[in-house]
Amino acid sequence: MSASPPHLIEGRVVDAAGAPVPMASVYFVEGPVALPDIAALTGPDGSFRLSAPGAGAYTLGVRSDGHKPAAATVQVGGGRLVAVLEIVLVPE
Amino acid sequence: MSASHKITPHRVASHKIKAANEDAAPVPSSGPHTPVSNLDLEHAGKSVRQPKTQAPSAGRDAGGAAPADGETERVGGAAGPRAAAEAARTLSVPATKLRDIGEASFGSPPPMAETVHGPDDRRQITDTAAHPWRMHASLLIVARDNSQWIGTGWFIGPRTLMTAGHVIHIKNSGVPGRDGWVKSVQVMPGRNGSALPHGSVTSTSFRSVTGWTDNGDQNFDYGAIILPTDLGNTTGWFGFGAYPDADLVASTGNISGYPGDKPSGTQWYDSRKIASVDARKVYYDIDTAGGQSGSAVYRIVNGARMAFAIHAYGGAVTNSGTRINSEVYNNMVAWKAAT
Repeated sequence: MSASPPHLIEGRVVDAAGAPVPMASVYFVEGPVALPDIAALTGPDGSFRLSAPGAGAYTLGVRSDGHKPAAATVQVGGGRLVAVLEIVLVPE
Repeated sequence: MSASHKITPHRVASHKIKAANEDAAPVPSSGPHTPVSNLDLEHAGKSVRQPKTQAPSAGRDAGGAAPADGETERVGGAAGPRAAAEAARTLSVPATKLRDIGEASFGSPPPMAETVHGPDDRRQITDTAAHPWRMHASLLIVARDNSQWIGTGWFIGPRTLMTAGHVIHIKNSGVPGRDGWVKSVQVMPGRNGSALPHGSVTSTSFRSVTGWTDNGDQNFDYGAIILPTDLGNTTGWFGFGAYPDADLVASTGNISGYPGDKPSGTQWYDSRKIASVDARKVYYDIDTAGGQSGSAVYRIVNGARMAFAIHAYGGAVTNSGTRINSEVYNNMVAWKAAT
């Protein structure tokens, strides 16, 4: 394995009013490498942190009951170890 | 999120497991398949001598068990859009092995990865209380940093479920306080949304191998969850086997699990021909999504559901799982006997 630290994708899932959405599942949809098929659940403040093993574009999927599924793509690398994004869910 | 709990040392360290007696299966005492646990155990329990397959069990009251339909499960509702064209399709077999996470940190990235390839062919299972669906369990994982995750596990014995190594031991996350054995896993067999037809059991006893816990090598990404109850006697369990390459590439693989891209806690199933195998991995185009890590990849042989891999990764061309080769098989036999 690489001795260099992985990149991190940090984010927050909120609803249309900006309130945090806890227990939303956040998972990789696409990425530059094979990725673990596990999903994170957002914390009480809607936050999550996923490890991105290499530089490139990662698409995350987000799902929470009562909301429409959402996706967001973030570019990892380019000298930054942490990529940050906010994902807004709208009601179903 | 609350602050990380203090972890007592015996739960943080990995302890190598010795065979129980001279009749134990040839569980390795060195090398990447050396079994380890988060608990300090004297031994891993009894095992058998060089078996090729382990038989499944249907569990209690399985009279109404859903029959298999040849090589696939008989699932209500119309087949997915891709299944209709399955017979005419030529499988695309990757010319080279998929790259692992560590390798990817050094080189230029391969093509984009995805876990649902083309139209999504998965179908929801609604009779999850019945055999065989109740052998699959939704997992709620609490990591050392109190982050929560979802995954999938499957019974191989009264107290033992198999899953991916990264479900129970987090490696190379880059997040302070996260790496290592997880704190707990809540096991919910046959879950269907908020319905838990067989209840739930929380485990804090896990097994994996040094190839994963020390090296983070995806070729060794497998592990087990040991329950404090014998819930598997109710749900039944999968058989499993170490099969020759020719058997596997001629097989249809079946996967059912608990993906995160569907309504919470619902079980989804898909099947397809196996694309390719190597010594430690099986590659396939069966649709999955995040949350299905740890699912059984199984074939149906004369009505018996026999696992041959543990689903773990979404890949650039195909998805992949850890192959049950002879070393994995021997560890599973030992873990199945855990009490």
